[in-house]
Amino acid sequence: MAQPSFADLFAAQYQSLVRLAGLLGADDPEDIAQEAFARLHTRRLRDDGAALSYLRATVCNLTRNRLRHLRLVRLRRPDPPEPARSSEHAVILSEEHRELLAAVDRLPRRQREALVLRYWLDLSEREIAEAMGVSPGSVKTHASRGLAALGRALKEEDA
Amino acid sequence: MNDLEEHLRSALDARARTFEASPHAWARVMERTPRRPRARWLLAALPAALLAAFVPVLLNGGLGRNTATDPDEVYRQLMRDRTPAGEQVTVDDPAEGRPLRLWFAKGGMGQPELCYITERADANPYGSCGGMLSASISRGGWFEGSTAKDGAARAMDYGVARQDVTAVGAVTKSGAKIPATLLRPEGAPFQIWTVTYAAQDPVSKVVFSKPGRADYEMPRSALTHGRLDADQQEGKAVELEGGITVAPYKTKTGRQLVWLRQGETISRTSLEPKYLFQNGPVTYSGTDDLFAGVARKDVAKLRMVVSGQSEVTVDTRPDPWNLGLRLFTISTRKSADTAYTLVAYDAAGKEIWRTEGTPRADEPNYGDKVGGTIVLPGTEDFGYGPVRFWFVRSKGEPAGQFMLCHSGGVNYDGRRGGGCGSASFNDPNSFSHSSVDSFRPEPGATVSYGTAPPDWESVDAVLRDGRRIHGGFVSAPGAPARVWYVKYPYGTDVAAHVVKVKGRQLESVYLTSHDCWEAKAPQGRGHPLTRGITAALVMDNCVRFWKGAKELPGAYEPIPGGKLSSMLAPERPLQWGQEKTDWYGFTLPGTAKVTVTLKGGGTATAETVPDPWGQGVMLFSGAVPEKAGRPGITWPGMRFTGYDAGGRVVWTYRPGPSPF
Repeated sequence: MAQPSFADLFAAQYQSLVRLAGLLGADDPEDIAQEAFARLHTRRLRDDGAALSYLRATVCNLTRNRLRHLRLVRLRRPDPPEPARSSEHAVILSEEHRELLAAVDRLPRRQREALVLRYWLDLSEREIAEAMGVSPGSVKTHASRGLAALGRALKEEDA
Repeated sequence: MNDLEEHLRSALDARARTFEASPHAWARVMERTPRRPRARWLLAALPAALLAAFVPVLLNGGLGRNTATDPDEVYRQLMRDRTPAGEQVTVDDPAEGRPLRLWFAKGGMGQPELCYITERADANPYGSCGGMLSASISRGGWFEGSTAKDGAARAMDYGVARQDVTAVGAVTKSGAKIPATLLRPEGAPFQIWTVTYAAQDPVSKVVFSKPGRADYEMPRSALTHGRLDADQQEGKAVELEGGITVAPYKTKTGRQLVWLRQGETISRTSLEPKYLFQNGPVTYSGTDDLFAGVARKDVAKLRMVVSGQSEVTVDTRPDPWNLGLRLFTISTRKSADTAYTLVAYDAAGKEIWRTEGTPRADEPNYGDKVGGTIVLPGTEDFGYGPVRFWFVRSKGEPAGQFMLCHSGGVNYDGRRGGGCGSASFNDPNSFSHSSVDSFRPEPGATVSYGTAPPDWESVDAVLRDGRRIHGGFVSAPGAPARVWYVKYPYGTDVAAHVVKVKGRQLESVYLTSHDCWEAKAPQGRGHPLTRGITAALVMDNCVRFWKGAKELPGAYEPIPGGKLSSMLAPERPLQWGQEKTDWYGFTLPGTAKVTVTLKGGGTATAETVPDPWGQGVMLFSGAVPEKAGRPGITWPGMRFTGYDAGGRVVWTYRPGPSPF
């Protein structure tokens, strides 16, 4: 069977990678996903599986770098104004999930990555390890610590 | 999987759906890849002979015999398929000590382009023209080029600014601020800015200022398509024919050759063994009509045959950095949709390798079509018109998710417009929005469009001066949703789109920019409220709150021409924000006091005062209920109540799933 073309891969995966970048906390998820595809285009990876792993890993890396950059900017400047939505939106958008997603946002970066890759993308530990650039054992640790932290956060909110 | 895991999966999925893919994403990715520069290439005064059957030698000086030495000849070549749009300006290039000519032109599809010709002290002149990125037009301006080169003590960056930009400034790596010179060529559609700086302290960004608007910053990395300044140059740059320079860099992803022209990165060639020469003795990339790359030591010549058009042969030349490689560039007038053959020869003229280059990939196939095609009325005269819409079932998404596709219209570089993006029409809080341009007939037109839920009754585009342009809806049999659209002249500064939803008193407002978020605290002009909070009207009609010098979350901005009172109605009697133990906002006239009651108990009260700006609202601030805890007052189940001066309830409000 012929390998999917770059265009096929883009059609099938672009939206998903935008969402992955968004879930990992990128402030401009489309920019991250487009850059990942541009880098893949340059690399010209032939194997579809390798290409998808490469894309996921690149999205994780670029988002990580972007968040680090934003943190540094914030250290130099006062807190930026809240960009997006009013309190009204905070209520409406995630009435059901708001509490949990707020706790996800507070997780350390690695734990957040592990949980998003496992519970949103349904990746195996090996695939998650490839995307995060860590060992499978480390994935297990990050994921279990992340889940435990979420559990604790929800109990605190209820208290 | 336990309850927490199920809940997490569901929550992540809900949040994921709020991130949408733009229909222009494929084009944007192509722009980032080496084969798609933002400029259409024309190497140094390409003579007509180069388009004929055979032209020997681009490098090693061979092309010099065929290259025009007269800048006017370069101009004639560039303008062969273009018409001028305004006068030329000539500025001094401090790096070269020679003039740089700049002017606007209209490309083959009427798209605006900026052209340049750079003269050199010791080489032939060269020039190029490139289209304007639509995304930048609405914001202020953008980078076009730079004359920076190795060994020059000074350099000049230049670019384009909208006509309503009143000042452009550059910020250098050290933080120094340099005002740019603004040039207004007679009859030109845009301004040109130039900034001259010392080479050891290069520009890191430019800032565009408009009266009453937040400044717009553009990083210089927009020109280099990446953070070239973060890479470490490892060897002196070499200048090749046509103003192309190449130098080795150490980057985060390994060593690379970076190919530049007029300050813009046109290609990168990885020198890492795992990427180099993977498909033969030549590794190359480039634009549709310019290729650059490296070859193995045994490759002496390369020949590119463009199907049915032309043939070019170039000599390779040894790299000067002792990398054991040979360098080459190949220029053709090949278009994106043309196949080609590249052949490598050794020094004896024996063919040692060849490859077939396929035409550039078309727009990807995003999935199976659902429903009929919609032909948008009023776009028959668009470039590549009329504009058509259709839905596809998204390949990469769960069942039931769609993408909205379009074809027709013209991209900034004169190519046919088209693409597919996320089609969201079930989430009451999302606003699906994209646009299509045409530059002819003049003055050109833009169509904003997106998917429309069934309860939308009207969509308008609102201009900065408050005027409205009415839109409409179109649909096709079997399509999963309608498409909304608004058509207006190209270049119109649209401030917002507003939607009237059936059964709602207030319009939904989607601002196109959020300048108010960047507003600074007005010194001594804030209106004092309780708890040390001040409110101020900024950007004409936007209210923000500060505590001391700290800005509080939330920017409350009605559409241009509207007042704060237009953001309130009985169905939505207040707007509020919260920061730690403070809450604040504004409410309907006649409200003397606002209380909030949390679902699990806990209440707080805030007194109101009339706004001092004639906006027709009452301002308030107060303490957050102690029981609010970390969730604060953005929690489901809470209730707000407004009282008049006599203590009578004038409204109650329980935030719920409304589309505001």
